[in-house]
Amino acid sequence: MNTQEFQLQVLPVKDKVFRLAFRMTGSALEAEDLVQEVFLKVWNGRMELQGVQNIEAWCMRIAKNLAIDRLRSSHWKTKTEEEPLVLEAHTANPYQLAEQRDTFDHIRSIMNQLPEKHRQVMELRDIEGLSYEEICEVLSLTMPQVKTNLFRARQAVREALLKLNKSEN
Amino acid sequence: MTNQNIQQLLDKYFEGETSLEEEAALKNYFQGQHIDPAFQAFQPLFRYLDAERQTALSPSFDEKVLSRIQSERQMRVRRIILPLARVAAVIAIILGVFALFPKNPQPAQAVAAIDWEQYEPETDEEAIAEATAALKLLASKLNGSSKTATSELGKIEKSAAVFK
Repeated sequence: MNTQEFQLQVLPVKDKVFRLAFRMTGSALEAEDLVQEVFLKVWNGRMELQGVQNIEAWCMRIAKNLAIDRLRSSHWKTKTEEEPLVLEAHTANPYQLAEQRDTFDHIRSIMNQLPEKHRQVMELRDIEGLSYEEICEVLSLTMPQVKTNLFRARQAVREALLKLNKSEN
Repeated sequence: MTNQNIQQLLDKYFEGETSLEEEAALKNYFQGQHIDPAFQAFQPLFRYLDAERQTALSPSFDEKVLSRIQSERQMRVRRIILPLARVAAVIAIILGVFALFPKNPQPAQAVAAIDWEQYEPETDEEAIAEATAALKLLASKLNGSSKTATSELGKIEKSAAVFK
């Protein structure tokens, strides 16, 4: 694989890898650095890429493992907290924007209360649009585990949303 | 899509049984402006998931990665070339030492021997004449030396007279 092929086949998965890393580390800077490390690893091991069927899932799996390593390292523990990325959908005015941020904070809070595996499976499916097979590969889970985790995650989110809606009305 | 379809899709979704296409249809519905009040509670979730999907790296990211790959390549080349260069330098030094200090040096070319025999006097007269000439040369040198010694002694005597 030369740099041109690398640009065409590997770099397009960068945002998915970044979001996974960001959700795991909670730091955009750390996540960007981690994605660079993932791509360097992929580049240095590009001879092995011939045996890889799904580059996207492979890169995400490397990112997940690197993020776990970093979260365990002392380097990470000494880092200062960083402001989270602010998500903004296409809204018309500052009032709507503030309201939307509030709503997103509620949803994020619901998601963060899920057990880690439940949340990861739901995020990979509903944000990244990964197939069940790809989720199995990224998270090193079996198919039944993925389906069970997804079912439980969505059920918990549904109940939390209905509860939230009831309290608002 | 009718409300009944949406309800069915939502039920399937929360049971974890929807396909990616059906999930895309739900996401699409909740991105619209007219959401039925019966489904309003679920709109924030689908909007949130969509906003999360928009999070992206800066456009300069590709450049950063490619330049890191480039520098990594150069480092690798250096890592391979440097030890080879060291080995080459050591070999060059060893070869140089052997060239400068060979183990079996070439013997210096022998100086042509003088054939003294051609200067041998052949007759008695010649022998006497050469001996006389040699003695005369010796005598003249000796005379010159005694004259020099006498004059130097004179100078010392004059110098000594000053201190008397």
